[in-house]
Amino acid sequence: MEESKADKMARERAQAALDKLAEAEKEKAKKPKVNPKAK
Amino acid sequence: MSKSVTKAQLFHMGGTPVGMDFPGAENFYYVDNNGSDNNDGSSWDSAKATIQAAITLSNATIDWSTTPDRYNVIYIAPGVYAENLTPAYYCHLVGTGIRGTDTMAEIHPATGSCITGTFLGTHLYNLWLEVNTAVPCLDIGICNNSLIEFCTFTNGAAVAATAVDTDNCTHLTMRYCSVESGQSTGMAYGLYHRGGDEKYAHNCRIHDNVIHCTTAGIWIQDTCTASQYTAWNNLIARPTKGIDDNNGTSYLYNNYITATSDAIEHANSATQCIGNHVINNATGAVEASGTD
Repeated sequence: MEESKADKMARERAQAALDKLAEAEKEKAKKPKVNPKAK
Repeated sequence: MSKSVTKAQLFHMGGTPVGMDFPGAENFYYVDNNGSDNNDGSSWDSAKATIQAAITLSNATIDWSTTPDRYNVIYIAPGVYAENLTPAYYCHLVGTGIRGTDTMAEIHPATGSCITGTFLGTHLYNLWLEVNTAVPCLDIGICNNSLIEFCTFTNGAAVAATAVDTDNCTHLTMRYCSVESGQSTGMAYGLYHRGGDEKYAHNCRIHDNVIHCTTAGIWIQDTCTASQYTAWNNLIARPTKGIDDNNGTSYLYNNYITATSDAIEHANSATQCIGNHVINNATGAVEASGTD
């Protein structure tokens, strides 16, 4: 079945949200883990 | 003095018979399998006959330059709808029957899934979703910000079907749903979250569901990051594995599970599974913690 305009827009918009999540997860992984008790 | 109301009035007075109304919604559409797709779908008296016809109307109203702040509503009268649907976006899809066999709005295609495609602002409420082949009732590729509640998932033939299958998912809530079967082969999976490179079941909320199945109630692939995925108060009976999180990132609280092998399989159960009540068939053990 051919993808309708609404189906295409929805897929791209939902994928964009997940791409943003993936980017945030990568940034989080880059940050050094800080031990708050360390002096 | 008594006052009778018409069917249309009943649905407009305080919402549907199951108590769901949407006073802030944008557009309302009506589906009744006694209606006609030549109707405009704007009332019960001019209802569409098929759900897909109403979904097409609803999706056509979306202004894709922004995110809608008022969703559409599609009310569906009780009856069997033999349709393979594509999803409605930013829309409440509401069945108006009462839970039971042949008393709900039943999406029941001859073959294939009930709904296939992206879920985006998709709300399913009080629907009976039945498949005759070994496929997911809801074959969701990508999912963002969607809610499935008070729905029943089942198989109409002795096939190992799945209730909900996702490829890549964030902010899915599934609550107060039933996964059940009247067949000699039960439903295989409740929720099946697939993985891969940068694939997620992120921030899902899975709670208060009753899941009768044979393979796993909730299954998360090892490459599916289930960050902040939280499942609680689910009753799961009696698959091989109750909740099988192969990624070890979900949080599991207070689920009641009977399984024929492992009630919970989770790499980080010591820190992320709290207060689950489990019976493992192999040992007959009843444990207060989430480990097995």
